[in-house]
Amino acid sequence: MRFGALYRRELLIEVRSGVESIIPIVFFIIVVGIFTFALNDLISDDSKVLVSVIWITTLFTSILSLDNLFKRDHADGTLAVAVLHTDALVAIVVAKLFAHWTLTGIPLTILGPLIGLMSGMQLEHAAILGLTLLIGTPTITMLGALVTALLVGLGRGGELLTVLILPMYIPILLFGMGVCHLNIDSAPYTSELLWCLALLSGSITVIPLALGPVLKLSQDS
Amino acid sequence: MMELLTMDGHGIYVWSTYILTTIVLIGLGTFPFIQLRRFKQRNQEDIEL
Amino acid sequence: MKFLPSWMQRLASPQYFFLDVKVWIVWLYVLGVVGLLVGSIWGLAFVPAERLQGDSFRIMFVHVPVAIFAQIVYISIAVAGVVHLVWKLKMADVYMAAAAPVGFWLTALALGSGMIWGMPTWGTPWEWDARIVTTFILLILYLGLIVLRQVIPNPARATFALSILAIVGAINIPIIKYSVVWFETLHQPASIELFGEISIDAIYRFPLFTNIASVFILTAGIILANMRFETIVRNASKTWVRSWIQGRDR
Repeated sequence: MRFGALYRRELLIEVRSGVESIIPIVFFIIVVGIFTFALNDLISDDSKVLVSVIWITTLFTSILSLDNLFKRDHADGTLAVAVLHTDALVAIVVAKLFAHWTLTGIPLTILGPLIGLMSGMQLEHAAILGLTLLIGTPTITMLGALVTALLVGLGRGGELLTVLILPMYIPILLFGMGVCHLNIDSAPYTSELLWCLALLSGSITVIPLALGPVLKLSQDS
Repeated sequence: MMELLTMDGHGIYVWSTYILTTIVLIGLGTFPFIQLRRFKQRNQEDIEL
Repeated sequence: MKFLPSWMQRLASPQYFFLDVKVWIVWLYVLGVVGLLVGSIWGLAFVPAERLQGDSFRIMFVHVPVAIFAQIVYISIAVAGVVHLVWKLKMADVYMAAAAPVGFWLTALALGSGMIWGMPTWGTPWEWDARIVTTFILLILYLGLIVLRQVIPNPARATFALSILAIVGAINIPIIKYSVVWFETLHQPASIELFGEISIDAIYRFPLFTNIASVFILTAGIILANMRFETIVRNASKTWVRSWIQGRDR
């Protein structure tokens, strides 16, 4: 019950901030659109190109949206109070990340395969793309949140975020994109899919626990 | 002796790699000592002042 | 930590670390340099050219050791991160600060020598291939470790953030290691496995292993020298540092 309330609160704050909450989605559509336009011939020849474009744009979108993840809470002092609730901190953090994923991860998971289908991708390939995005986006949110939390309250954090975050995304990108590519080549992809799931389960279990101390320390200085 | 230097036309690549490695390793190896000496000198001046 | 011998426990104190380790550094430097000279001269002059690549394979004797330790240094930083998080050992933080630039330069050297090696054998210095890209990512990881320390003013928070970043980044190491197996790539698969066949001819093994051992020794020496400097900087206000500063002249 308490978790549900926290989750609703985070969602409401995001939604009530207006257009700001859908800017990442708009960004995603625009960038994928530009790529489809620019690489028109390549994409109609080989749907691997489109899959790669969608995956990479997902990473950029997450970087764009993560910059704001803790910024507002840090600015208005919510974070300083949340950090004092040692028992509830994990629940607060999980609610926050879950809300963030609901508003960016789920739309991207739906939009990615949809754009694929619109560009003439086969249904099976689009479905597998959706599946990898469904596994990949929560992992991306978790890893990104951890790195963002390291930089909370630092003035020059924003530019540094990309340099610190992109290397962390490489494994999930390689495996997620690899599954789609193997599927398009009609090769077996079970082991890569299992790697994706391993990264998801690893990040989803450990990172919420690690975020507590990281955020606590960010309020010290 | 010339054979060792030219190495069938591969000499440039081989020797440039070894030279590059030597430069980087010498730089890495001496840098902490240079820093240490600089630190000492800077603080000596501070103490004398 | 009572199970450790007393000379090791002594090293946990910055002052004794600073005093004791100087002799080690000298010996490690001498051993490493002599070993590298022996291995390199052996590899350059006394080993016949390889059947397929001709003489350019001699780059292997620096490329392989440097690339191996570019990865191992990162793993060691991640281990130091764990040690710092679990035991709050100050020396672990000193190690992280000292090893990051060394790892950065080793990775840069691995990339540089790989580029030079690529010119005669692949016909191109740079190819966006799995091993090269993942090694480049390793370079960025090291860069992140170096920059993050400079950006965070509070030292306690900086160390904590670095430990977390190093540990999370360590998931990239198996990706780099197996990138030659998992993905389509120009780079050849590993010729040396820790537990298994060595697919390198015996005459080439000895100079290669001499150089691997020497780079290890030299890297250890350089990291210790860096650590020595870091301990001094961190304890600048202590009396033993002040007496060291004044010591030699008076």
